[in-house]
Amino acid sequence: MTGVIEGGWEYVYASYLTSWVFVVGYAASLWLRSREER
Amino acid sequence: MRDCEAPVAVSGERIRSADRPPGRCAISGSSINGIAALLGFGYLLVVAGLTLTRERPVLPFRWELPLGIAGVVMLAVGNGFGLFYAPSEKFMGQVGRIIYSHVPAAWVGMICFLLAAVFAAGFLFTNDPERARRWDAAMEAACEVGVLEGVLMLLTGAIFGRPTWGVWWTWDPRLTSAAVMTMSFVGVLLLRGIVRDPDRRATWSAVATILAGINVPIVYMSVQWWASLHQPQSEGAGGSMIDPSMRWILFFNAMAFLFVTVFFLAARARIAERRVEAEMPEPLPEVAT
Repeated sequence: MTGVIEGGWEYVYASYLTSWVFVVGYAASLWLRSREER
Repeated sequence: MRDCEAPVAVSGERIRSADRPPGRCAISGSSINGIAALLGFGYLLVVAGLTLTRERPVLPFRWELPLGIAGVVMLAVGNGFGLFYAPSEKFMGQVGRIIYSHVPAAWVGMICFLLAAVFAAGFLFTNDPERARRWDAAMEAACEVGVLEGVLMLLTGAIFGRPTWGVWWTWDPRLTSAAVMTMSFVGVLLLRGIVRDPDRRATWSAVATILAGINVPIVYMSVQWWASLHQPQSEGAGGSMIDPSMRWILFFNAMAFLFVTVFFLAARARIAERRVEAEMPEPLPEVAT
């Protein structure tokens, strides 16, 4: 045992993917609501 | 450009770069961040100046659009830095790369919540109905975008916690107070959703927002006030906890998040303003005298 976490790339990808889902999803919701309000 | 440096193994502090491939040139991260900050914040200052000197910015497009596009591009580039260029963390290994998505979301989320409280105070202390509507719209936007960032912070934090602490969640002071803060603003949004009268909705939610905003400094200081599993602030009064080779990438991602968030705030505030205008009663017909 080295005391360093080994691997874990799946968590890294999950975190970045979650961020992008939120950003893109919210941008899409803003666009749709902006069209409705016009 | 600096000369290529040998790998640096640094010990002592919490987060340190553990490896850098031998002979790899270090990009001048501070220069990149400096240019991005100059362009982004310079643009905001210009827009603010145009807004203050005129009724509305005189631009042929929505002012927030270039900032949003720049933010998304920066976020893609910043994530690329975080995934492929940043060194691994000394103890967390590759998992340490999650800080480039988790920490910016946390910082920007708290900024949004603080802004919401400021806008709420602006609403309560203004007498002009037109300005009051704008403060209210801005407050609604800041609450909603802040909740988005807050939930993202909690989710990425759970993803970070699983490989590092072995649990998705623990009732740690930082995590608990962050969850309470986010849920408080969810409550503000729910309050706005159930109150029909625009004036009451604005006033009640402004008061609730200020009360919810008290959570922000509590969350920030929770790691110092109580024994917390969560690490201390990355950037505090005592200096930075992070190695420079990681720090500039963190700031780059944080700036990208900030620019995207400013775009979200502006776009959401427009929607809120239009809704409030639609709710206003029709003006009374003029009576011939």
